[in-house]
Amino acid sequence: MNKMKNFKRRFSLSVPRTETIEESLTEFTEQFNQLNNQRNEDLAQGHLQLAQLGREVAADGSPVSPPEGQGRSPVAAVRYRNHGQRRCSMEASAGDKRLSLPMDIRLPPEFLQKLQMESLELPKPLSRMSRRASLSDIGFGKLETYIKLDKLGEGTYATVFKGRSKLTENLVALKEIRLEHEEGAPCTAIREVSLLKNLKHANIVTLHDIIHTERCLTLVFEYLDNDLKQYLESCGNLMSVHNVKVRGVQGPLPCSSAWVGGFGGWERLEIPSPSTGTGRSCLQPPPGWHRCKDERLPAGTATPWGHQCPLSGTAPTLVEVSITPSAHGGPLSPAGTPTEDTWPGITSNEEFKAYNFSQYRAQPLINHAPR
Amino acid sequence: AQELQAFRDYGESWYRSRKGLESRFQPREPLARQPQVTAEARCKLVSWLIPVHRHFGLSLEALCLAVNILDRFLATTPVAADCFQLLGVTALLIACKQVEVHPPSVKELLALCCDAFTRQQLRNLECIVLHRLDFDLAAPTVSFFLEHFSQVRLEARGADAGEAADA
Repeated sequence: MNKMKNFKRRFSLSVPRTETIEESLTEFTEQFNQLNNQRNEDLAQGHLQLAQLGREVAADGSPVSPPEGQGRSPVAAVRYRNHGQRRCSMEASAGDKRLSLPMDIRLPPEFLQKLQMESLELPKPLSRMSRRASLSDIGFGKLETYIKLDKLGEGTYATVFKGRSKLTENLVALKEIRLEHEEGAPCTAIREVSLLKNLKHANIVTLHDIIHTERCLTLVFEYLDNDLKQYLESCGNLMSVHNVKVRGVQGPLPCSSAWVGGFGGWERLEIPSPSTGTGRSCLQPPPGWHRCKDERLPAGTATPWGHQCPLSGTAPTLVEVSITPSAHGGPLSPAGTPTEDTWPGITSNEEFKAYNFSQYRAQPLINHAPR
Repeated sequence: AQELQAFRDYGESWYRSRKGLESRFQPREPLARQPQVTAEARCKLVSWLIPVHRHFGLSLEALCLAVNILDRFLATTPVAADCFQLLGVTALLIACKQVEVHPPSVKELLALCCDAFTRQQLRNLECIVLHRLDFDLAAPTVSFFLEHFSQVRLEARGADAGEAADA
């Protein structure tokens, strides 16, 4: 603990002026607000924006904004294209200023213009940020782009609304996560977003857009008529939950999984429902899944049912198959003896020939596995 | 044993998927546009974060992710020297929320900074960091690759031992 205090102190010594922390943070917050403002800003209303910024400055008594206000004046047409780049330059100049100039200085407009021009000429590749900026010009990342319709449900940490996107006219599901927590953004939300962003699969509900404001985080999902539980009920409990779990990542199942967070069946799957994460999040399939037991299957062949694990195209199959008859003590597998039709190349496989299997016909899967 | 089995089954494809993501999460010149934060300051912050993560009993993964978040944020935004430490704990907090079962509480983290910052400041900064990184937090880390390669090694040794026993 002593050591702890030591390094506490060591660091705090290197922090020079505590009284400016608030200032720098204000600057951060301003940048953040600017981000939001810029997104919300209607191109035609450039002047309004200017006035508004001016007022902000007066309120804070901070000199950060006025030069930026100046920089904002170029004609609307130019500004549309240079949105992203200009933002970078604004930040850069704000940063430089803090270092080299006294706080109360007001730079002459010509000089600023020049600065602006210089930074515009810098050839910059379209960064992630500026790509996002240009997307936001179209309307992504803005709350106004989506019309809230009915409320679909409410959980402990989020409320889900049905909505419509003004951009595509498609129905969407809007999941509103409140951010007013003692501990900051809830870890469930952080994981849900960061994991879903990397997942694209027919059975995993698609995350279209994220709207991040100070108070609340809204996730825009594709809209589906049922959630998994409703779908199962509508099937009259024909399917056992276990099989649903298997199917969830394999075959088509026309419903949403992301907002069935409370549905216990998904929890062991881990993939579709990051929001249920109480443990370490991980994209590794749980140990309960099996790959082909028989390693003698030629590499790269799919099983007779052609299932592929969705996490990556080359992943092992999730269905247990074996071409040795003894494994099931009977016929090969419900898919029957492989033929050239179901498994091209199999009849020329030496090992396959050596077994000299009798011909079994494929049987309906329903005999072997209840739905 | 279960871990090893999971590795046998999925290690390779998991590795490939993470490897594929690696370049997307690499911070590009994090200090290039920093007017105040120097390489020395960053070094100091990181060597401070190491005992902090040990103090909370956090995983190496969390630490690596925190540094990755820190660097990627630095690449996007100029940071003043006086809230650099706050950025450090914020990155650590976000990393823990992503990969730990029990992330340390905001209060504990603030206490480690000698209460130089307020809860609200930390929350604001967290919000900004998340926004800037666009919630891209599932970065493949040194910790992951280290673990993968040691598993590969273990596996290979196991196979050798197995063959020796057979012979």
